[in-house]
Amino acid sequence: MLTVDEALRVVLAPLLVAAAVAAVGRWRQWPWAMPVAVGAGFLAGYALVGVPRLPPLDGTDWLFWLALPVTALGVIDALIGWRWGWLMGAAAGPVALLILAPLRPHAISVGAMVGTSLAMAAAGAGLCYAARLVEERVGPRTLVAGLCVVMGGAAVVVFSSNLRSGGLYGLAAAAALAPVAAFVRTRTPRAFAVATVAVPILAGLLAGGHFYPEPGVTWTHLVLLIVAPALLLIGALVPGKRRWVRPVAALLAVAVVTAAIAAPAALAAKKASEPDPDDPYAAYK
Amino acid sequence: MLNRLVAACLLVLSLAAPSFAAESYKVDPVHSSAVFRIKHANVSFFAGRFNAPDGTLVLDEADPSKSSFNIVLSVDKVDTANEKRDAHLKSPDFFNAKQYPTITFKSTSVKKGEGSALQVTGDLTMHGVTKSVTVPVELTGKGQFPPGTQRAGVEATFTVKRSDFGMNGMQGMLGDDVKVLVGLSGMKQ
Repeated sequence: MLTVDEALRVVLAPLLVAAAVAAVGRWRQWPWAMPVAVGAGFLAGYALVGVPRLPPLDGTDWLFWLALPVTALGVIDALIGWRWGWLMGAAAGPVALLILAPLRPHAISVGAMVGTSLAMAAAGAGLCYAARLVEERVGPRTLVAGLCVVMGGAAVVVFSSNLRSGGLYGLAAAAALAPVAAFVRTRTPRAFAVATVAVPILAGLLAGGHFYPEPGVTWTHLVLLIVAPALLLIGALVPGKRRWVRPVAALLAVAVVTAAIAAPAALAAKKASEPDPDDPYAAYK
Repeated sequence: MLNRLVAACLLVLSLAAPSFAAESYKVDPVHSSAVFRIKHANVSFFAGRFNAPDGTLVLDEADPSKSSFNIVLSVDKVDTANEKRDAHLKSPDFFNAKQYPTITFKSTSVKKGEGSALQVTGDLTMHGVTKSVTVPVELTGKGQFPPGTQRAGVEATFTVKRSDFGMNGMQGMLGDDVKVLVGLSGMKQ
């Protein structure tokens, strides 16, 4: 369960930092402000829990240091708007690779590590490509809100999978995305660059959550959560003249799938931590 | 006559010599314990243990500086009588068992302490961090069990700060000081 102190550090602080950057960015119409808002909010929440050393003791803590180059990629994507910029989403692969590398050789094979990293790279690039379509056809606010929902769901799943710290960092990322969803607008140029930052963070969170704790995030949950943002494209397929129909349909699709994964995982974890009523020695432990 | 006397003396000395030499023991994982105790919610203490400690002890009662201790605990064998908590302890929130599967203690110097105790200084490696610690080790006994197997027992109690080893998970909810009690039964090799 989240304590008040933790909520202040990993929810309120990232929210305020991201809101401040996004608000200024919206006012000054800086295209790079939205990805910076997400990166800065995430790093602020992480740092308030504890800045990891470099190189970090725990492989999962690479996520903090990797958020810096990933944010830089988001800024480049927002500034240049290169046609092939979606390929930057493949940064999810190196992020997963660096997080998993410390587990070699006793806890992960080279094949599993490289295979997972390649799959993450492909998923990352695919999601960033999808982000461009979602922004164009459904809207930038829906894109960022969808990423926020999935990140929040992934945080809950990781939190419930014996990697509490990973869950806290996921909440920081989700909290950083929330104000960006509020401040981004249709005229905001290249809001898809937010995905260039958020997708590798999501990939790193899930890779760490699957391979480090025991039992960690299941393969099924990992795959569903990493592809969940692509469900926003459902909004593009919905016919309708009203402006709100497509965003609502897109967000509903993402929210339903994310909740279907996160809610049972959280409930199962809660149940597992309670004393077993059938254990005759429960009272003596 | 003198030659025979010298030879007899040499024989007696050669027979007596092994009892003064360093004796090597392998840790018996069944009859050894590594227990830790930590404060929960700033209210009460609860204990856990690492099952089946492993390692070797070299004891030299005549010259303690020739003694040495090499102990290995498997993080995967942490046991707090609660599966969920054990799994959490193995995660990167605490020991990170997959990345750092063992806790080791390797002595670097042994001195005679008070009474039968030894002052053992060594490198304690846990969660990827190595710190030099000095531990008072008491020799708890010697004997045979089962018949024919020579044993020696040692016990050590000391306190470490988990934050010194980069284990900062759930600070506030769990104390920083961890009291450790290690009781080892070594079988002579």
